[in-house]
Amino acid sequence: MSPHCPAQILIIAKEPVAGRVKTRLTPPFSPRQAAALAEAALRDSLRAVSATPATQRLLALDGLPGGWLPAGFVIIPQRGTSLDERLAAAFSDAHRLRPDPVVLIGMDTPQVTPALLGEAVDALERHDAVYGPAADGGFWLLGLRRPDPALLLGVPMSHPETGKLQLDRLDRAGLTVHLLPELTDVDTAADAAIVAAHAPDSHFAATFRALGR
Amino acid sequence: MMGQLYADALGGASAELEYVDGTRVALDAARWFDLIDGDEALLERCASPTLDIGSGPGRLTVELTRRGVRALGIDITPSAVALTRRAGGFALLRDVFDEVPGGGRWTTALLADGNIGIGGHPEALLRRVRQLVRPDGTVLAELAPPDAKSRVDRVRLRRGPRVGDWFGWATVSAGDIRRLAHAAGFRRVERWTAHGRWFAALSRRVSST
Repeated sequence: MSPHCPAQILIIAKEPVAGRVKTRLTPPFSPRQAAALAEAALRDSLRAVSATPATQRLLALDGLPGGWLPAGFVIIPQRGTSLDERLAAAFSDAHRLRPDPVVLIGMDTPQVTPALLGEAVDALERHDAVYGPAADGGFWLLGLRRPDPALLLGVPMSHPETGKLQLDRLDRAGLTVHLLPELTDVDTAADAAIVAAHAPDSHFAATFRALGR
Repeated sequence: MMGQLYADALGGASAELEYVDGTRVALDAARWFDLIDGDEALLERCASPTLDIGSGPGRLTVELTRRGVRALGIDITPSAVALTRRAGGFALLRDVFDEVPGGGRWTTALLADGNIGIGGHPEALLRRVRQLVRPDGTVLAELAPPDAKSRVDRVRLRRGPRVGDWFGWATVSAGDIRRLAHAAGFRRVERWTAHGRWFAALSRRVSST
């Protein structure tokens, strides 16, 4: 394990199929448009991960890969039903394939940069956990030096207090936590406008503009 | 990729397929030797020349040859290729993503027994196989039932304490084949089921041949 890239990076994502992703963007967008935005956000997230030094890059995927997948990712399926179960399983499975610390992000923050991801990876050299709060009260990134399902299971994931409850859980386990800057994750059309404005050079912003927004 | 444990399984040794969550299922290698229910639904649609991708010990390659259909099996395991040849079929040690003889001239390409999972990226695999068949050729693929979930697993072979390398393997539901085939550049998709097995015929031409 190189001291300069001590962690692996895991993206948890859904295959961008119309009607199955970003349903909270419809309306104002059509299911096909919402899927195009989801695919763009996924491409941006994958690109940022590709550009960040890591011991392994994984995609915990619900569905099948498509032309949007760059080379160099190990795909694992999602397990479980609720999001806390799926996150816990993704951490465990990644860690079983390769026993390095794991940094996890979703596909809803296309503005994420290699610098932010690199900070998260590096933070796990000195901290037990790294945490990126999302503007909606949840989180956009969670990194764990020693993944353990008990750190996630039972945390209500789509709740205004999700972030606080997750941080409390890490705290009660006695973990030291490095905090990252807050990002907006794309849930509603209003979020999409904010994120597109913050990352004008992203696939996401280009797709958003192409849809006339 | 499959390695020695797969070769041993073809030789009659027991082996398991292990998933990343630790789940293990017995590898039913015996199933790949003798014709099974539903094979006829594939065999009757094969026309000369047929490329059998991931042909294993050659059950379908050999039967096609016996019927007078020119067929070539390709597999990445030397013992699988040897077994096919011994049984009277033509086979080559070849990865489907490497140079394959007769590229662009095959009338039928077979992805039987879940071989659409090869490489863990079925859209990429179907694009590749589309290059191998003639413009009016057909790809015959076996699928998971429509109620199964399409997914990509990370698996390895295990025999007791011995394990092979992890590799990707996809499962494609019959419910997703139309979308997947279109993404891979096929225009026409025909699905059918026989003896509980699900199949699809993919072609580039919209008109039936």
